Amino acid sequence: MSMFCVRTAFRNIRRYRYKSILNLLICIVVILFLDIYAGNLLRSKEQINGLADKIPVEGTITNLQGSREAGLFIKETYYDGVMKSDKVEEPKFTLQMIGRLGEEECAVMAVNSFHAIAGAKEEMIAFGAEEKAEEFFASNRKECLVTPAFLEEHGMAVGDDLTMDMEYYQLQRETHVDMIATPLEQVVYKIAGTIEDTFQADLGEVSAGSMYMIPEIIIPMETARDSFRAQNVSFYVDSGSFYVKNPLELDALKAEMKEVDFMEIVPAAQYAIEGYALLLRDETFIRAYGSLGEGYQMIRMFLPIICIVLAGAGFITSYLLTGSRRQEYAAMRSLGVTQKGCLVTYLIEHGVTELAGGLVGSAAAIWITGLDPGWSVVCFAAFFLCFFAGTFVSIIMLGKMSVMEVLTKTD
Amino acid sequence: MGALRAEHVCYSYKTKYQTIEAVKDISFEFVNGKFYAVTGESGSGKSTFLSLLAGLDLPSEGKIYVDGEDMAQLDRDKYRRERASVVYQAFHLFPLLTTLENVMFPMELRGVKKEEAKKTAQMLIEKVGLDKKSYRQFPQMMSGGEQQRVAIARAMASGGSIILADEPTGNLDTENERNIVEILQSLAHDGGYTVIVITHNPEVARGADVVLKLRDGRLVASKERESSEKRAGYGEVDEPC
Repeated sequence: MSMFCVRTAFRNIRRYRYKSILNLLICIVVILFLDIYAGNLLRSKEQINGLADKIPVEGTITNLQGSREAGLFIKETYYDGVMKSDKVEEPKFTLQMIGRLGEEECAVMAVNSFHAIAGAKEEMIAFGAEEKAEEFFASNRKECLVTPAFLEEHGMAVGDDLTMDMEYYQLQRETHVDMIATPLEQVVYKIAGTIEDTFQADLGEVSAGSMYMIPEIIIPMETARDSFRAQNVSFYVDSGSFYVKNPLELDALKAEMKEVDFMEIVPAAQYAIEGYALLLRDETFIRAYGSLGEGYQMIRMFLPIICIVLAGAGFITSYLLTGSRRQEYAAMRSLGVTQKGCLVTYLIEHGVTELAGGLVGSAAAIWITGLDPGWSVVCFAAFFLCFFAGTFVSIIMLGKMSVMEVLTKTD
Repeated sequence: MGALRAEHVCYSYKTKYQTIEAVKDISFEFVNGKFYAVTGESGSGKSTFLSLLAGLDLPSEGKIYVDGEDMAQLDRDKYRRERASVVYQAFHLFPLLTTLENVMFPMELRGVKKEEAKKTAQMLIEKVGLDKKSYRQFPQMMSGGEQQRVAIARAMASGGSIILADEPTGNLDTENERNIVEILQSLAHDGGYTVIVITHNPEVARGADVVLKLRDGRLVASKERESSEKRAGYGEVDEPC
């Protein structure tokens, strides 16, 4: 019986060629519209995803008032909280210190990444041995970078040891606004390379009007932390910022940062230099996301309606194409074809045409709209499921008949 | 034992407002090799009775036996595939199949090989008086009489021994009507078929071996006609009691 159904279905496709072609064309048009819709949906989604690259969201640690972003006293827990988060990228932390070479006072800066050095680029750094800047700044080696001017001034060369008495700035607990230089320990740093001092001009601008000094010596942040630990002194950093890895997950990041204990800025708060407020510059992103997101949501909202329309189109198409074939269906039943056999025959007949129409339509859609083939397959599957569901209902309804009533005059 | 036996067959169905008793307590035995005509006014239950005999529905009460087997226990689709065929007034040939393909259809359904089905179909088409030219003709290219011959050939192709016909001459002119009746008579008398024909037409009833009369769903008369009577012509169908 199953082979008979398949043979009959394919024979019907050939014999009812105009109806088959009409069904095929309807399917092509329907899937073209579906692919255009999917293309719009995807483009909206891509635009939203692209916002993160076009409008990066930066987070900066400030004092509670939000008036100061550098020269802060940021506790180690905040530093660790940001560094360990998987929702941030390019975290940039600095710590200004003082290095004494006898009577001479040098500006030493600890950084966790070369990005943290204002105006610095990787090509400005020249290591003595083959080394990558990121690896160097992530290490805790007793090594440092110095400016060529420093080397020249002190008659030193890359590879030499540099002995310094390190000092750090200690927060004045009484005032909460002053930091005083406090001895830490004597260290010997090996000069690992140089960093061009052309960036000094930029850094000078950044630090203008603050207590920043142009760093002549740069060390990895973890190296500095080791010194604090060795002397049992609470470690801190004095500036910190980062980019939000995925601005679409801003809420999750905010929740995580809240757990780290960051506070929101309170403009009315008293001025202090303790850094425990987090300023997220997300207004532009949120504004852009708002309008794009609304458009995207609007298009997406139509998805269930489109599925219903597809099923409706499948139903109406089959209903109209088989409407004149009720007697043929009844004649088949009268000749002993089972109800299941008749349904299968009609479903194969329509299913094959719809499948072919869907495939041709999908290929045309890829060519016309440039839709990604993977998504075209998804659209095709959605089309076929919905459209065929409509066809299925229509054929089931066709089968609900009194065979004798259809084939005879009523008595 | 008869090919078809109805025992106290009743059939009723419900509409929105009432229950209609279409067939009431019909008992009758149809035997092989005879041509039966079932007559009656419109609404007397003839077509409903035929649909029950064709296994398109089951009686509400009573039983129908096919060669001694209870129809309710049979696979009724298989029964129509292999043992009984129905011929309709409107022919109901498949419009996009040729004459040959229409006649081959029941055999293909039974899984008969294509070549064998083709040969048998050709033989049956010739048997009902159509020539080779008709093989490739589509139903709409043929006259009503020719289409009904094809429908009879298709009924014979099912391989069964029971042919049920609902007003088979209703759409035909007198000459074609006579031809169709002759074919049906020949099937019953020469082919051993049980031929049961629903008809309003006294001329068709006149050609039958046995005439049954239904009124308001009941079998009110049945009469076996003498050969001489048939030859002499057919008058009123007498009620037996």
